[in-house]
Amino acid sequence: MTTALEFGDVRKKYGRRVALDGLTMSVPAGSLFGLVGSNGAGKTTAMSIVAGIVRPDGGIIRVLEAGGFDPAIHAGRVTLLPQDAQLPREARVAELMYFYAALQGVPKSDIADGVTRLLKMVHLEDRRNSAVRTLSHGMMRRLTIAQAFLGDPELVLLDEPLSGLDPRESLNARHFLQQRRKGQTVIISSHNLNDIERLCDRVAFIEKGRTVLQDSVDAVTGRSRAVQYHIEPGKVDMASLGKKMTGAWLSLSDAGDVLTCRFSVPEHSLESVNAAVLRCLIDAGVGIKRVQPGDGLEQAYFARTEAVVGGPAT
Amino acid sequence: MQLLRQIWIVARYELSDAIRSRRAAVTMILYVAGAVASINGFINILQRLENQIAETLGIKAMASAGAVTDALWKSHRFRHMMMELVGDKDIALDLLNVPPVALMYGWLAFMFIPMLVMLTSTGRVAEEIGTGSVRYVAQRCTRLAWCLGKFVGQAGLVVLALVVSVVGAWSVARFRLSGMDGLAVAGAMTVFAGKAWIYSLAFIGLAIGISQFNRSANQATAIGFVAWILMGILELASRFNAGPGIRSIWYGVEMLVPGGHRMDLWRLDPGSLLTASTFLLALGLCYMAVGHMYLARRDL
Repeated sequence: MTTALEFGDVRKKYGRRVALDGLTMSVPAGSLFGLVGSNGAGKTTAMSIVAGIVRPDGGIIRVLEAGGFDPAIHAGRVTLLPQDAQLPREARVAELMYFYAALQGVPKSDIADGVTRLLKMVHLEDRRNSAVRTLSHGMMRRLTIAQAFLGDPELVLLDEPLSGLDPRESLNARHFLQQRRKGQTVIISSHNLNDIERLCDRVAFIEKGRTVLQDSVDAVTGRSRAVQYHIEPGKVDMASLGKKMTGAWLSLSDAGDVLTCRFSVPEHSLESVNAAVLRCLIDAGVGIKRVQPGDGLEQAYFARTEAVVGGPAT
Repeated sequence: MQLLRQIWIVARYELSDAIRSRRAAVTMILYVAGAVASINGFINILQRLENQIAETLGIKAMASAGAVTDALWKSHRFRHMMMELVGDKDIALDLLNVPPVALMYGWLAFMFIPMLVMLTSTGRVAEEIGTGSVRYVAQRCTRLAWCLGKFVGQAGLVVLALVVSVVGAWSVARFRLSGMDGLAVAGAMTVFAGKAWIYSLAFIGLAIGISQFNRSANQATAIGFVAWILMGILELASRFNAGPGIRSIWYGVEMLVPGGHRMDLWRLDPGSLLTASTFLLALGLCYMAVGHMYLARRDL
């Protein structure tokens, strides 16, 4: 299987409001795929359609190369972490996990081990007999992440999985997501572009129910063709630097604190650019705070979606 | 096979969730309180009547109720009167073989079980749609399996509640009626509880059907009560209006409401019981299917 999910001109309206306006997107199997977009862009609707909880008005959807979601085919192979759905409040943590696992057809002999392993991974093992209502918001979030990985499904849909997690648990959840089974496809919808950039290998920008762009994170951020040097504002001799970096495009931010170097491959490489630019900056006595490959997803997002929804508020 | 497995898992969870969340406790308290209070009230009335009879006859009033009633129940003249009143000799004789207190329990069970089902079952699906917890289940099983599981789980909960109500009602009767044949009363009450459970299946189906149209448990419960009252009105209307010609349409209406099959449950012959059971289960599933036609297509 090469494609885990395909959307072809998918449309959905809620009353008169258009949620998806011909969404077209393809998610390669085995990828960690990020969905990025404004509020109301259609990310949650797209995920809900994949999971079969919302019916599309039109278009083509292929989930795991087998048409639209059908519980008879996809139960246990596709799971969802919905954004604002409550877990049953009176249920016990482990009991709820056993219920979901049994329902999706995980073999009886594997349920206990699977539940214990997942609860350990999200640091809820000590709360396995607690009622869901006694968990904090962050704990509930971790439980919802764990339930989505029951039975090692082929396609996992996570809608804002890291919202409400404290920094330590957010880091732990990122590790957890990165350790996923080989071949498993995970789609993450998030407003936190740093999370998407750190976690995902591919990304799609969705705005107004349409795909604005989809590509690898490397390609979108230009990681292999640009470097940003965050420096203390000072005197950078752009002319001499430009002479040393023929074939590259150098620019300094208005505040003079970010020097961007764009280059073409194979004329230049990340190593050769760093060697030349850093030496020049050190020689000039400029303080270097941080070196960042590429533009950063946030910058790329605003640049690519500005024409559709306007630039960032200033 | 997959469908049956999923129905069983959902039903088992529904029942354990009801027990854990104290919904089962509330349901059982409602059933047992209803049964105990009603049987106690019935015995109080019985005792007052018997004391009045004793006073009229100028004999000493009895400390506990039941002795006169028991004698009256077995008298030839009373049996003849009952046959005249019921209009069906077989049913009258059948009922006269049942201890009066058990008969009272049966009447109460048939009377109150629809209301209690509407109170406890109508919000079950709506609540999960409203809170969104159904979204954790929707990719794991079919919506049909989920609803049927809810139906079976609620039916199981009613069994538990009826068992507790029989125990409560029997205990009160045992305590208050001196000469009561404990075993016969327990047996008769259990039979009526079983019949009340069969009667409840139609209402559970109605409750789950209504629930599938709603996102709010309270709204679903309110609609459930309206539907229950409507069913009662239709039952009465069909009973009074059924007749030859165009009025025969009311016979059809009577078949479509649960109350139209209640009389068959009073009969003691297995044939009537089987007919009523089949109709009531089918009605329950049909009511539920109407709701499911909507749920199967709706966004969750």
